[in-house]
Amino acid sequence: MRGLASISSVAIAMGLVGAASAQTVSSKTMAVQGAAPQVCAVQSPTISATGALVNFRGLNGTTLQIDQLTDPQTLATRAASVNVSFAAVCNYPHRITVESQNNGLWRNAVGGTGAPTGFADGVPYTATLNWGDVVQRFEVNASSRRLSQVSVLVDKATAGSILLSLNIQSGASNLRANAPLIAGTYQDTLRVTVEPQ
Amino acid sequence: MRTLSLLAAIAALAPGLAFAQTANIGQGRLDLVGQAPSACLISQPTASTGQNATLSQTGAQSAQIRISELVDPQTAQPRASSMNVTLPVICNAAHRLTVKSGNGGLLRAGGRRGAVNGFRQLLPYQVSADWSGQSITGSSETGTPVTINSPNGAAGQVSLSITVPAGGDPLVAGSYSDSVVIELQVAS
Amino acid sequence: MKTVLSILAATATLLGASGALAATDTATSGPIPVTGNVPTLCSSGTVTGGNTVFALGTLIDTSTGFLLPTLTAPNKVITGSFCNQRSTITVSATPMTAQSFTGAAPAGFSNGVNYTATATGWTATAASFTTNAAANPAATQTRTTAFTGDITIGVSNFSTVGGAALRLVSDPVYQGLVTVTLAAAS
Repeated sequence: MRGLASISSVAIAMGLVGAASAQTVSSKTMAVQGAAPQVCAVQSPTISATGALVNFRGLNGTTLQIDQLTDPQTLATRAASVNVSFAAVCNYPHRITVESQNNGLWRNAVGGTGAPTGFADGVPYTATLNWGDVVQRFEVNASSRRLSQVSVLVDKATAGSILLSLNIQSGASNLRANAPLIAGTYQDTLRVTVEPQ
Repeated sequence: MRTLSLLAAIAALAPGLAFAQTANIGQGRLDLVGQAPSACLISQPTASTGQNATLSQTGAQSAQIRISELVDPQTAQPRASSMNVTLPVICNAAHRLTVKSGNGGLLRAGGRRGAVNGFRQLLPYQVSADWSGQSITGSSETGTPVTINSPNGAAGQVSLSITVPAGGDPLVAGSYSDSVVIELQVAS
Repeated sequence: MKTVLSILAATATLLGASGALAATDTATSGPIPVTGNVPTLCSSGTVTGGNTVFALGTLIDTSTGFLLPTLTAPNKVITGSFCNQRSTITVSATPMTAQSFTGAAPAGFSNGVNYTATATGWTATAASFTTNAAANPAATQTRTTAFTGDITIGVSNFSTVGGAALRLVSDPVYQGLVTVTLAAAS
């Protein structure tokens, strides 16, 4: 009888052995990903602030026609000015470059001969660039017929308008102030580019 | 669908922004054009030297040459006289200079060209012009005594001379005159 | 669970055996309660295909720089989820933000994308969380019964942080995180 009693007390003393790590909360995490590639875009030009338009007829596509290039009394250059804007965006730090194809308004010379003594055949002007925080003056000086440009680093993404303020001074010439211009069609092409640094 | 939309964006890029070759470059363009028309300008004479003649400015584009003593008072024969005028000229394209005589010579007012009993009523004179490296002389009788063609623009001074020769048949009494037109015309 | 029961059973048998060796009277001990405990367990399963990334691809119109209005990604299915009692499902999400870009976005630009994440299939009403909502009352949904089943996770309703007038700064990776949590509810 003594043996029975001792065994039963041992049995009752055994308790519950706990189960390992019961999870009451469980999570899954998923990532949502996408890419924004580098983008620069420039729209077609428009004339801005028409109050500043002097001696220009207006914009026809990309062509900006000067109304009266020369003064009929002197055959020298007449003043002209215009502000042109291009809606534009670059979503990364970039570079903006303004390039003049001829470095001035140059006459399309037939036969490539220079102007006779006393005449100018190139018209200098200034193009001031405004883009975001950048302000850059570009002296298109018509010293010689060639490609010329200014280029500026822009340290941040920029959206808005590229503004080019063009100014031709009265009497501007590549000879001396108020020199008469040899007859002809005077042209230049400006290209503004936004691109990687 | 994503791929399609990207292609569509690139296709739209091409016509509107013809100068952007890749998505991260943008370009704008401006063509500046102006016309300097062909034109000639003549200004008022800057100098004049006359012998037996004087020059007076009568307007912006006109002057008068007055011959002091047209004839010898004893013989009624013409006295020599001359007038040289310097005119500033700018022509910015190929052009032609002409000097024309209205009457073909100094013509007596109210008279006819023909001589009367050995007395003349028309006194021709010489016109010469120096311009653009050429020197031309002609008689007023031809109507257009001077024509100078210049293949390029030129800026400078036209030297114009009118020379009335002395001597020859005497002149009928009266008032003699002619009008001289100096014209510069750009080649078309 | 199983281990405990077997020990008690063995002990009872021992008692019985001892009884047989003793004297002529039958002695018993008990009744001894046999009990076990089932703990609460929730498991959130595995994502079908093993790909846990919602890949949206290019986020912007490359001719304007603005967020594309057509962004979608295929739903993901989490299989083998279960909770053995009443539970809640909670969805939370963080806006997609540019991972390399540092500093504040310049004027006219944003470095984030908001969206809505939804979890359907666990509860009658889907759990959803919108990253730019003032409050997300639908983020947690309750299921009153034990359940095992698929949970479908979707992302939609993308918009630029700061407004549609802003463009995204360039960055190769914009990333947000969606977290789905199953939890036992008392």
